Amino acid sequence: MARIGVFVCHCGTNISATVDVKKVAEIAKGFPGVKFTTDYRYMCSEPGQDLIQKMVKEHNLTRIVVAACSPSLHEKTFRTCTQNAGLNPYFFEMANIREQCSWVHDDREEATLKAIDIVKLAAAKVGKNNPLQTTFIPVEKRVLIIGGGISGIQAAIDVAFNGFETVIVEREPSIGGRMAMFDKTFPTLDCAACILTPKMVEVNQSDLIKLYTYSEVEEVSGYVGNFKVKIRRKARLVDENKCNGCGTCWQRCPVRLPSEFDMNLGKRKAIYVPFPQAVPNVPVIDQEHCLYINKKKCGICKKVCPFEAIDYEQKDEVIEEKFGAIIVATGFTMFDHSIYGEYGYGKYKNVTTGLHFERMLNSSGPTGGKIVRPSDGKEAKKVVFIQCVGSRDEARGMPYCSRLCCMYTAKQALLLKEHNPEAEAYVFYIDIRAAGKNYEEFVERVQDEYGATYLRGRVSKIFQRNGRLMVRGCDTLSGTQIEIDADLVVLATALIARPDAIKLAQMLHIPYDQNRLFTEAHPKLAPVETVTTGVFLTGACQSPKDIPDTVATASAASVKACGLLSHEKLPIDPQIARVDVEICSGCLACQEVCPFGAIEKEEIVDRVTQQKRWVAKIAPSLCNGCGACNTACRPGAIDLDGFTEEQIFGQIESLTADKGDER
Amino acid sequence: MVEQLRQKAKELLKNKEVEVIIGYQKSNNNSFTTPCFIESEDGVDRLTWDEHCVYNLSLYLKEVKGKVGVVAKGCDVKSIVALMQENQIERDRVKIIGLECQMQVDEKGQVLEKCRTCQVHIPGMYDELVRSKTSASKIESKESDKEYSVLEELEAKSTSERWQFWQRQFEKCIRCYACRQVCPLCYCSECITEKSVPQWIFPSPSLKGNTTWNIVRAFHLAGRCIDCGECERVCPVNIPLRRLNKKMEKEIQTMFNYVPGLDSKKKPPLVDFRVDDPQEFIR
Repeated sequence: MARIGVFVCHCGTNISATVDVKKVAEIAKGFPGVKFTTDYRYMCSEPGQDLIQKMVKEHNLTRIVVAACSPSLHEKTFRTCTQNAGLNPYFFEMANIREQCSWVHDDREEATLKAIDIVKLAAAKVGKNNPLQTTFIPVEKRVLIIGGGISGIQAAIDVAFNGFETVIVEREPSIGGRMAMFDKTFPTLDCAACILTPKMVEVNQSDLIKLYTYSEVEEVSGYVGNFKVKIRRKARLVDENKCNGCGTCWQRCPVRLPSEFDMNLGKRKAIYVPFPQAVPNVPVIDQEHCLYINKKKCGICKKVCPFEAIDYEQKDEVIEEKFGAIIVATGFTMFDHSIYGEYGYGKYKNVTTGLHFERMLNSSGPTGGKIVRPSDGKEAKKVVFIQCVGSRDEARGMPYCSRLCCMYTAKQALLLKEHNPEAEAYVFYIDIRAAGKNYEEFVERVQDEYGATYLRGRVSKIFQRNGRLMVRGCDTLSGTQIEIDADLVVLATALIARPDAIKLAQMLHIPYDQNRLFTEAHPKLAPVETVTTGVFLTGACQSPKDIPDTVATASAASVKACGLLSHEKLPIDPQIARVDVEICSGCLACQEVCPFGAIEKEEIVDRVTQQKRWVAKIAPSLCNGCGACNTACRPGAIDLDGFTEEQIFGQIESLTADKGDER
Repeated sequence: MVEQLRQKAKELLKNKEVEVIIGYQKSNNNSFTTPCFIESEDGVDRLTWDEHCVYNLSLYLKEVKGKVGVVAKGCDVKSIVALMQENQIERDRVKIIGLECQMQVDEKGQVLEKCRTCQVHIPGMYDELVRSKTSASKIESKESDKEYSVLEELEAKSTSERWQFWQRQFEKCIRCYACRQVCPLCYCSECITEKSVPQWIFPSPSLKGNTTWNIVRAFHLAGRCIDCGECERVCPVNIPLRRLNKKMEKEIQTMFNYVPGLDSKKKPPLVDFRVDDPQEFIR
């Protein structure tokens, strides 16, 4: 017979203010099997834990109940404490009388009665607990990084610095991401390429970092320490090992197409590298537009390549690799402003976005650093910037603030004036959010030193008159209607999740929010972790982030990943499903409902009939103990260790015992 | 039709395609039929087929080992499909002799309730098919477009009236488990009602235990019951079990657009998990 000890925590006044803890402890003395009860101010404190261990020895206790906070906070603490007292760590149950009782009630009497019931349930369960043993799984000491923008690059560098191998999977032909498109960065105005390209080169030169560009993650299976990932390496039609990036092919290619990297403001060829500093410096053939692929004509690139690197027959290749941890760094995409009628439904050529403007500012960009009107290529002198396009708009856009538009708009206004001191910059804003180191000062400088005109208000309409854009808005500070004839309008469009974010989330079993942004395990205390152990988040795939924040989360995520990999083996929770093959009917409904692919079928010889038959088998390392199989099993052949049917029945019976047999 | 049936059975046995054929034979002393198991060509003359062949013979498929032929009506084939979906029988082990069925009758000569709304006079899956001279589709009954008309009376009642109705029905249950034994989909070697640690269902006949038993059985059949109606037919105390199962069938069809036993490739909705499930509710 179990000898149960019940320890009721005051949690300062968190519990004791609403629950009569002394009464709970007193009444618990009468529960079946309970040999000792007490209350204490902070059970989780060292003296509190010492008290448990002392009482185990003194009263010869074999099971422990701590009535305190949520098990998500201190279950681990008290499991270890129970173990230190010489008992199996699973001979412990936590009764949550804080989150589920004192914090949500104010009637002291009623709350105390509820707390007594909660403790009664825990005592009934703990008496039927079985001793469980933790098992261990080995760790694959490699990290997968999905996405090769600044956040993936930084994470890879940090992981490699810790001595672990890492693989970056990037869907574009080159790493670099959005940052590679920027001109200068706020608030210090260093050139984006000057600070990014050294990191790109470092990635390329590292022996510990493997690059899979023009590749995509197709399937993820397995679990922390042992993820199995299928990666599709899309056919580049160029042999990466032979090509040295001389550029002969793309110089001679006759097909000219709009360049995605230049936001369609410039041209690229059908065989191309997206930008001169691309890593790897190996071109890719655009199969949709290549003349040879489509019409079997041309073939110039193959003829001129000095290294015979062009391979029109190359096919997509799917490879499978193993990883111990995964860092998600898939970044963002821009909100499509064409839903806004007031900004011309995306029809006016001279209404562009911040990213277009960024390419124009860039001296190696499509305009050579000249600010022009896309409609006729003439210099744009009067530029209107509009902030919060798609951000902070619950009705038509995103409910959230995109966080960096205030800053990059200020930067772009400043650079406009630097490029052409004669130019005029007008900024329509709702609020200025410049909460960062030296950010507010920067915005002040743009207005005071550079003379950008800041107008607090919305733009009600943009329309064309005599070939110019008329921007009509209001200045709510002076209370006047304003009309500006502009050469160019730059919209600060919202940063949003990528369209296929959900697909990736489902592959990785990580949750996402109503805006399809990936959700961290805890917004304050686990900001780069996800609920799937071993999967970490960095950068704008989680929420809009500027470069400093992105780099910080990248380093944070890599520390977490390296922390995992520094272990030779990882413990797995023994609270998992178990099949009684004698009862199993082999219908495998459990296999169908298992979200983790943890159930396979196994052939056994029936003990009674001596015939072969199929039964379900649990893979302990894959099982998360969710209990889905448990409920799908009709004959009740599956039980969940730590939450066995007997334990649950014990709990129900403890509450209904004095109410007669209801069966 | 009987001659055709015997001929096909004979061929299957002769060509060693099956070792045994499960079919119907005339009962010794009345017009009814009983199941029979024929292992040699000489035995095929015992096979019969008429409106009294009501049993669902798929019940025996799991028990009979080796290659087996089975005589099956449209409704019986639905349970064979369900058994295949649930890994209980392998398709290549079973030869189905499908019968074009019209309307089967009970011992009083009344057309069975399920036959009046039947949609599968010709089985959905078979290896051999024995056609009827009069096409079944021509004898469509008026009620056939009202699949769930049998539920109307109960659905019109209030929740408490319905509860009282079923309480009166379950009160009669003597826990003989005939419903379970005759059900082709109640194939578990150990039933949940026999589990003693912990005891889910109180074993002796009592209203509470009977209620639990009958409701648990209906739940276990939800999205699986193919409406052969055998449970209701064999119930010695006449509990209208078909109404219970039919209601579950209707719920599943309304919610998931799924009818059990029609497509062996489809997954029953209650045992399905999809990665692309939006899971809006656990965000």
